[in-house]
Amino acid sequence: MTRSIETPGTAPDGGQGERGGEHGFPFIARLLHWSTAVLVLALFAVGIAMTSLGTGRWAAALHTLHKTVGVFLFVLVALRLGYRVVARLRGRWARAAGGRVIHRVLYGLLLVVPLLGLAGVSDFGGRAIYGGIELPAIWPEGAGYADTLFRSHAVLAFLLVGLVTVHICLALDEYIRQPQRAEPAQAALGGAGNSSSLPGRDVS
Amino acid sequence: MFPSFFKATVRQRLTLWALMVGILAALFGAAEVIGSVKLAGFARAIAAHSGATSLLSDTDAAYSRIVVAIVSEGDRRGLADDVAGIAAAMDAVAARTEGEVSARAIEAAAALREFSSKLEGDTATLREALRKVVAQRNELRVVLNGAVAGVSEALGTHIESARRNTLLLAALGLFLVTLIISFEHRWLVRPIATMATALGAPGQDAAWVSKLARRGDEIGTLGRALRAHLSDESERREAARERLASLAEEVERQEMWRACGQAFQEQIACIATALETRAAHMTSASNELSQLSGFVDQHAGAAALSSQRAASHVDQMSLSLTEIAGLLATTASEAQRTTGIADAAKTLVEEATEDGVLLREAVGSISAIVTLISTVANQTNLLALNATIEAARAGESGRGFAVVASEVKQLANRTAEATEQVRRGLDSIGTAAERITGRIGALVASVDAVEAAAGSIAELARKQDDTSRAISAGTAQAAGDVRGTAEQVEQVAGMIEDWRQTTERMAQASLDIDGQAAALRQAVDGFMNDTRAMRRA
Repeated sequence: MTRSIETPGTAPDGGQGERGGEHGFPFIARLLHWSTAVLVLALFAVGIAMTSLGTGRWAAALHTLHKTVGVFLFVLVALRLGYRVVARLRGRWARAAGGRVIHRVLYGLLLVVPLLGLAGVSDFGGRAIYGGIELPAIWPEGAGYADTLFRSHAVLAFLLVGLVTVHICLALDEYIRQPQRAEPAQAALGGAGNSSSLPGRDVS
Repeated sequence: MFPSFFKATVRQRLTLWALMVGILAALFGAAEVIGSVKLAGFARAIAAHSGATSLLSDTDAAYSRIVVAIVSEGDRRGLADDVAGIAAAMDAVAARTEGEVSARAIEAAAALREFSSKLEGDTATLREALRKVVAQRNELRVVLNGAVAGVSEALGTHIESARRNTLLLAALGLFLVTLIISFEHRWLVRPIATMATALGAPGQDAAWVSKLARRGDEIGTLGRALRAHLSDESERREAARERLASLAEEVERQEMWRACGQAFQEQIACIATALETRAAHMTSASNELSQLSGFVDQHAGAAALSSQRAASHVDQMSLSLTEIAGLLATTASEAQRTTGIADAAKTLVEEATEDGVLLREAVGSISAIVTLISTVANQTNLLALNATIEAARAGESGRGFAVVASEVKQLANRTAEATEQVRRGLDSIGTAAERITGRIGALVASVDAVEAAAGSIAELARKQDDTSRAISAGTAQAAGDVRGTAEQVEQVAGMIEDWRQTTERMAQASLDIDGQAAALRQAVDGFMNDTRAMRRA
């Protein structure tokens, strides 16, 4: 996740070992990063499929799945931010190419998009997810803004995915330009990858 | 954050891009497929509903007839067919539709069958049944219309959402492709282009290339290779420059050497020329010298010979002078003796004069006798002639006589001859005697002269003796001088001989020098030609 780019050596800050191991990032940071990436991708795909289906049994199942995964992603991002604060990994963000800005926007979108989806669901009704859990309502039900909320959710989700691609490119750029010391490769890397996303439901 | 196997090589990047674009395309395709399937469902629903509507409308005529017949209490025959037809249409509607519409159609069909069973009954019952049928038919229409409206609304929603999805996905795809292209341009195209430039113009972009060389992907490999190549290249260029510089130095040095060599050669050529000239001079001089020395030698030889001869002559002269001195002494004594002899001779001459007269007289007497003998011989001859003639006349008997006659004749001839000879001899004697007489007279004078001469000779001999003594002393001295001169001349001749030999050796040497100078010139010329040819080459 988020951690982005960075170069190993640079960051003195990394609290936990910055470069955990060979990668410069602790395993847990990498796990969080790549889980976020996978969840964002899954949510994006499910969101598109379910909006295409529109109505029906499958669509309902996908909606429920989307909501469930979205909640999971939201929690994950929150954990990640908490870990980041605790581990003080911030300093590893690359300074170049707007990496810091992109990262902040990504984190913001990862939090905002799921919240928008939840608000839409609250307005629209149907906060139930798998596991028999009812999501807390953060928006008055039937307020009539569901459509707008869902549309914003979708647009921001696409924007998030677009930023993820930018994030990938910038990370690769950083990685490629970094001097490959000793072991080529490694070095740098920051997190590129995917980024991710928040759980947002995409489109819907 | 990248997994360790990911080195961001071009291949891996391309795989990543393919994966991303592929996922996007798959999502896009899935959305499109779902949309088209849904559209097909909508189309089917609309077709079913419109088919049901038209079936319903088809039954309008039959329905009117039934209503008119029931209401106007008219003829009810034939209604059963109409009712059956309507019921069949309801069944068809039920079969085509589903959900609420289908249920309503089935209900309507049931009501129609009930109505049909009551057709033979009373009018009131029939009217009740008809009312029910009418109500159900209207309900079916309403439901059908509602279903059509629902389908239309769902279709509209679907299209709108599909459009939104398509739009967003397309925008995302476009954005992704743009990103990929721009970043790959930055990662791949620009480095390659710059590397090509760096290859073309080494020296520039060195820092950039070394930055590139630190990359981990293929471009990094290329960059490292390029850096190595460029550094090799620059080293090689440096080396080439150095080599060129050293070569230029070498050329300059060689040029200098060549100039030196040429100057040297020219100098040598000059020297050789001078040497040749000198050698020629020397040769001619030594030739002249040699000639001269030959000449001198000759003359010296001649001089030596002459002086030797002079020495020997002087010796001889000295000897002769001594002899002369002896001779003079002898002469003096001889002169005295001569005087004596002359005196004796004078006496003898006088005696001879007397003898001469006697002799002349003797000759005269002999001559008279000879004349007599000659006359006898003539007469004898005549006699012999006569005898011969007589002998011839006598013939054979006179032959012997003839022989005696010829013998006498010969004797007479021979006597005449001898007489003649005697007479001639007598004449000569007479002449000689006369001459002797004359000569004796001369002799007397001569003897006198001899006497005087002998006296003067003796005198002279005495003087001469003195002189010759002086001469002898001078001559002895001269002989010594001449001998010394001869020795010196011989020495000079030896020196001249040495000199001549030296001159010959010198001439030989100068010839050698000449030859060597020529060889030197030839060598130098050849060398210069070679050098010139080499330089031209």
